[in-house]
Amino acid sequence: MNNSLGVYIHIPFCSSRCKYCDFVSSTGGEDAMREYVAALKGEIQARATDYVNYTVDTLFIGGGTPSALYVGGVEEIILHLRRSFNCDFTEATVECNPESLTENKLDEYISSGVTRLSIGVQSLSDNTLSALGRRHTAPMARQAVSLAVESGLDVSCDIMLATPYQSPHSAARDAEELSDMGVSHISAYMLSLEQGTPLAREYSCGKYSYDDDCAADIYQAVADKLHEKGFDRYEVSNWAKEGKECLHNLKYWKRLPYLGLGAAAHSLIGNTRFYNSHSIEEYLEGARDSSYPVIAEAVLTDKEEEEELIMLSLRTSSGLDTSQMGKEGRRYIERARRNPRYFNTHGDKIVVKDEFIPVLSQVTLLLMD
Amino acid sequence: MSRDQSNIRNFCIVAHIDHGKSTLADRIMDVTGAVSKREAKQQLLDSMDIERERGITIKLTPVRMEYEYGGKTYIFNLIDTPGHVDFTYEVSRSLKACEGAILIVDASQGVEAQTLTNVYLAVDNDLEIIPVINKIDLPSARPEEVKAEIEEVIGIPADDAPLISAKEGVGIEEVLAQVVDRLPPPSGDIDKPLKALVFDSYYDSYKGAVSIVRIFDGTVSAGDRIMMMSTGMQFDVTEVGFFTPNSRAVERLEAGDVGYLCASIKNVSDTKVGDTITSSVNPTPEPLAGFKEAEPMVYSGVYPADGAHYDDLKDALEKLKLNDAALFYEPEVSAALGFGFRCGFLGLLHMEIIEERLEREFNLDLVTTAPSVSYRVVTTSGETVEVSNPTMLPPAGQIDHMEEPVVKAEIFTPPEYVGTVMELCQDKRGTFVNMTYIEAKRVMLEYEMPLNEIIYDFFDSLKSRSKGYASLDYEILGYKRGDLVKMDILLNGELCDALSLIIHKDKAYARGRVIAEKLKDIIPRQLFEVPIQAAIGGKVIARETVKAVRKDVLAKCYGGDITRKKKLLEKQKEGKKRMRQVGSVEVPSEAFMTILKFDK
Repeated sequence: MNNSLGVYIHIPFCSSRCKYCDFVSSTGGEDAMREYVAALKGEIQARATDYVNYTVDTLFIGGGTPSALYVGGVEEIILHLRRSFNCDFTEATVECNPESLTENKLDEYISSGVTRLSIGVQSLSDNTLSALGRRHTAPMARQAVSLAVESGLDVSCDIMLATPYQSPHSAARDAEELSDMGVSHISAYMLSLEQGTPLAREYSCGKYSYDDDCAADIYQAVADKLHEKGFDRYEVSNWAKEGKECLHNLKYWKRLPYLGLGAAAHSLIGNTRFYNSHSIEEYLEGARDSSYPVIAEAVLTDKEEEEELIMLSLRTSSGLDTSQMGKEGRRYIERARRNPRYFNTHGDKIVVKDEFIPVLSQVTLLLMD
Repeated sequence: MSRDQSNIRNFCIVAHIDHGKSTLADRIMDVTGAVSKREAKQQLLDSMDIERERGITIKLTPVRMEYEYGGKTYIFNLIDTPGHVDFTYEVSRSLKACEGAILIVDASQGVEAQTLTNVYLAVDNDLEIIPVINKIDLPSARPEEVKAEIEEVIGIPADDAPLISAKEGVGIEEVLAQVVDRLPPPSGDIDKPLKALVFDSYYDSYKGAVSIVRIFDGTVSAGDRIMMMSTGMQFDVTEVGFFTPNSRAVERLEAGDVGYLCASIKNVSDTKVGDTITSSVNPTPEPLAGFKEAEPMVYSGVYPADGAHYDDLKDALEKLKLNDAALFYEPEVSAALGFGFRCGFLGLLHMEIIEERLEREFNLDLVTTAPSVSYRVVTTSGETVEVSNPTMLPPAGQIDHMEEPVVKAEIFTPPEYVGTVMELCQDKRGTFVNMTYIEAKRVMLEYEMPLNEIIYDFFDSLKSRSKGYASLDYEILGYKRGDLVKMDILLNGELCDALSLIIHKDKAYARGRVIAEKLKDIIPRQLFEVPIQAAIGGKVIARETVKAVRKDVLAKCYGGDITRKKKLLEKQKEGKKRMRQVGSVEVPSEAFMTILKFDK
């Protein structure tokens, strides 16, 4: 009997670096990309032997910007994956940016078996986009979204909350417009100012200001609008029309097995977490001698698993199923019942009440030891 | 083989803080060859980190030196004295051990508050005083004016005062020559019964409590049976000796000597500073005059930040107490802070030093409550109760009136700051007593002031208002009736006992407002709104609100990398552990200290 496996493939290339980003990415040219894809293929092959008992049912190619890859690159990767792993995709997502999503690439994705596109729209306001250092404009974003929707693939858009020049009203208007265009999934993340990024510097020198209450208002406005538009919040930052939830992302929250391939990709297999080097250079080196070393491997203790399960599953609308936790589960149910202001309990399940989702970490701590 | 007392000189150095006392002491040791320079650094200054960092002397270390002068060898016993007002009693005891004092005055700063206090103490103890003007190497030095100041303000001739730079080693020989020529030798009677003054003590893990003594009459040797005159406790002497500055055992100490005495004494508190030691076989009829028990003036609750470290804190206090008879502590329980101790200190500096040592030397993370003085509460039934912890105050209905300690404060300041300093004193409920122009550039203000007002931020405010020029000294006058009330702080409607304080009625409104505002900034937003109220009795006098938190970080989780989210949660969890639970409200430890500093 085969276990299902999610595969995440990291494409660490972008046409330029956004001002808020501190993630692994390179603005390298086609040669660098080809070298990387070759390494990736090597890793796919090398790892595959450990997963003969698994079937890959969800694939997520993220980045970076997978759509920034040369034409044919994504196809090459997926083909190689199919050759090396048992694949039966229920869902296969490619992350795209508006400026690099072309009809050619769309055709390439569709013919490779991609079912879903996740577009980094971030905002439909030019002021905001340029403050974030995005390469695309609002009209380009609209064009990419309609192109994607017309292709018949499931389309998800990332939007960023609490960004420069954004108001609760404008954020809700963006969400509404995307919904009206036929997008069936929206991921809305709060801007997080990472140390050392140009945007963080601009905030600290006073070019923009950040206000927690305003951020909360923006989040709430978007949540309300999406609710009105028939979306369900199935996870803190993710909304979907019925049946359009991202199955791959759900694996992260449900602690189902996923394997990350490529630089900086993280994996969870059973009770072991591991990841590849965050440096592209180091990753390529590992490919050259075919060693593909994982950088850190941690076998989680029962306690750690328990805490992860709480932290991750409370993010979802289906909540924490304490029946998975054996005896320990009772304690958590009781704790939740003692805090009825924050939690709903149904049988063995604990779900954070809607109004406390924006302060989820604090609420989560109420359950933890 | 008794020594010739005429060759002995027992003296100390007195000065205002920072006028160069320790530097001169080091220099004198260099010249007399007591220690090499390298050793001096390691042995003398390493004794207590805090002393060095703060540039103050807390423990008294008498050093015995030999000095060749005019073909004769003299024995110098240099007794260092603490330079801070908290330790005035210790200073007075060590002055008693001397026949003379070197008075250092900074050549640019002139006479300061503690210069005067210490000189008065020296005069009270009939010491011969040698004024010395230090730091003449500084461009701002004005030795002639300072000489005039010494003559006018202190009233001692300063014409022959050596002009020195202890830092540069200039003029040291002249100081030593004057020590020989001008200071009288001791004049005790070696044949009389033993009479020795304890002027300091410390704990040694091998020898037990070691008494540092000045022998006035008689002799003492190992094997003698001695008696502490204040308690009647008896001990067998195991060792006597000198500090050079390392301890060096000798056969006996005689009248005129300064040295140490070990007698298997378990606690420092059994060898009290100021006590007289005599022979239990042949006791002296009269002890030396002026013995006082060290009395704490300032109290504060000291709690471990992590309740699990209560026993560590207890051990640490026990160890410190071994060496510091003035430290007082007793167990205390607070609803907000758990198990801890109510500690009594000689003053604010003493408090800061103890707290710093607990944190540094014992690696403890502490939460301390605002310092309080000890109030006298006269109840309606006519009883008098001492209260140093506001939560222990009897119910308002049972209080007839309250009394608070008042001090006489002497403030030295340049005339341009007189206005602002007087305003500050007035604001701190001071009663003006006197103002004296010491010379064109220095004014001495005398105020009678509640100690309670001084222990908060008076000293800091004084310094900032006078750009650092004003200096302060004070002595306790006694207790005075005051219109005092207990102010409570309520968080989300629940009383936080560790934040209660006793305060003058007229100050309560303003302080209540400031504390509420500060707490509002310090208490993090929680899952619900937290009202902060300052109240007297049942009456709320100030209110602020900490709004409920509305969002956490909801950042993207890239490619299944949950490490950031885990770290963030771990951090929040840690943060939560450091919080104190007051009812339903989480309060950071700093909150309990905020009411310390309330000046805007």
